Amino acid sequence: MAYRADIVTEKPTTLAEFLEIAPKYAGKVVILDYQRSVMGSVLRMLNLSESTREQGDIDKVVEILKQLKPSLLAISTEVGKQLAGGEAVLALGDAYDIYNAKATTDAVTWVDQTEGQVAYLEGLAILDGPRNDLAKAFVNFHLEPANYADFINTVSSAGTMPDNASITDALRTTPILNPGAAVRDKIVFHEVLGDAQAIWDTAWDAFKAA
Amino acid sequence: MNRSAARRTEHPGQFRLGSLTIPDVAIAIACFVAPVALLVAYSFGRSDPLTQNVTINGTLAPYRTLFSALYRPVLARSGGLAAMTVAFCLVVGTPAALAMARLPERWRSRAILAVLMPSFVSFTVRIFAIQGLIGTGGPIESVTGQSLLYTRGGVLIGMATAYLPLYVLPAFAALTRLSPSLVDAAADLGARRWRQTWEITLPLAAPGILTGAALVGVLAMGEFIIPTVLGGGKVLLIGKVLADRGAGRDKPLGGAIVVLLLVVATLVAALITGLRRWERSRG
Repeated sequence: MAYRADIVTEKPTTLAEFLEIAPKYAGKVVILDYQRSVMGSVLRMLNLSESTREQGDIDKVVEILKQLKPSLLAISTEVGKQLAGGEAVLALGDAYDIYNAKATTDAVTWVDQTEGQVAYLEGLAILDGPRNDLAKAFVNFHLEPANYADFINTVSSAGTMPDNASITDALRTTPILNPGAAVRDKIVFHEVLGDAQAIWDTAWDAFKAA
Repeated sequence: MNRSAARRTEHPGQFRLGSLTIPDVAIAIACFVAPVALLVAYSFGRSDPLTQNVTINGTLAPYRTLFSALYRPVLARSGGLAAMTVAFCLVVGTPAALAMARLPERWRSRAILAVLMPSFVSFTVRIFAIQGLIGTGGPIESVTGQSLLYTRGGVLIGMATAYLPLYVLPAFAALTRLSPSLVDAAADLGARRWRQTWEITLPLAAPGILTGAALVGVLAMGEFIIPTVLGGGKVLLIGKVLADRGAGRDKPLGGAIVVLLLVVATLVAALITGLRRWERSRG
């Protein structure tokens, strides 16, 4: 999560604090339009599995998000831009997006909420087919250090090759994308939800439709 | 002389046209009929959450989901936004089309160009340009002191800007087809300008006006980019459900939404056709 340090005086360190102060900044709060990140973070706050398949857990999350909704400026994929531009002062968004926003103004402040965070690893899965060799060659090409560094340098995201010297020093050292051990220990990765994905989809739409 | 050669001699133009329509029909089938048929088939299926492959098993579950308590308000809201857009186009676009139709011939093409000009720029670019106009630090805020970005007003400005040309052009075409002698006759009989317009011009141009309104309404019903970019995505619309779920891991729901939008479009087209017939039958 993130906030504008020049405007938000409370300096939230937990998602619970974020949700508590949101009404004060009503109309200046943005959240990422990505259910797994937002609902996953709330599940972490509730000390529940970030990839829960339980309807009851999901219902609790939706209720909390519905209470946040009157304070929202937007449910957006431009969280960093809105924070940097000053339209928003409180934001739930992706680390790489906030890192880019911080390049615009240092007032943008990233917070590793102490309840723990959710993260995702983007993967390339190869389904069984007649030319799997070509698919594997493509994946391997993408993972060649120079090509992978190109990708990371372009999108400014965290990566899985910390020693790849072709990735810029700034990206390899910023604590936003490379948190310390204490923060990393509290990061959990999304799991594939399978049939439970439908519960999440419906819950996210229920929140947005409220 | 064989039969086809004889036909060619008797109706040469008809034969050539028939041959030329084959690619058109093939393209229409490949680009429209086949994808729509596939989506209709998907709407009676179930999607695998991992591979997203659809198994068509005749289930009505996607339609039950679409008309559930969750999505009924979403459908109503989408219809409401489409109706507001049509109303805006009618109020603003009809006088514009009337004014264009009354221009001298040489100015009309320039007026049409002016209406079409924004369409020469990509739809997405236009919407983001509007975002700059109505957003923080934009000219609207500097004049009114209020940013309209992420508000209903901002969404309506975006919808009107995007769809107004689609309304104005059919309305303008219908208005220019009217015989000036009808209006002259009304004037000779003492009708004032507004009465000529209200009782002669607009009723006679109604088919074109209705076509423009229907075009705008049907397209606006499935709109999602404008409410997302200019409205902040806080209000869920059926077009957004289609884009987020229907185009991805829930193609059956997407199919059901497409079927619904097609049914709405067909009903509107049938209504317009019926009104035209009724108008003609009245003489």
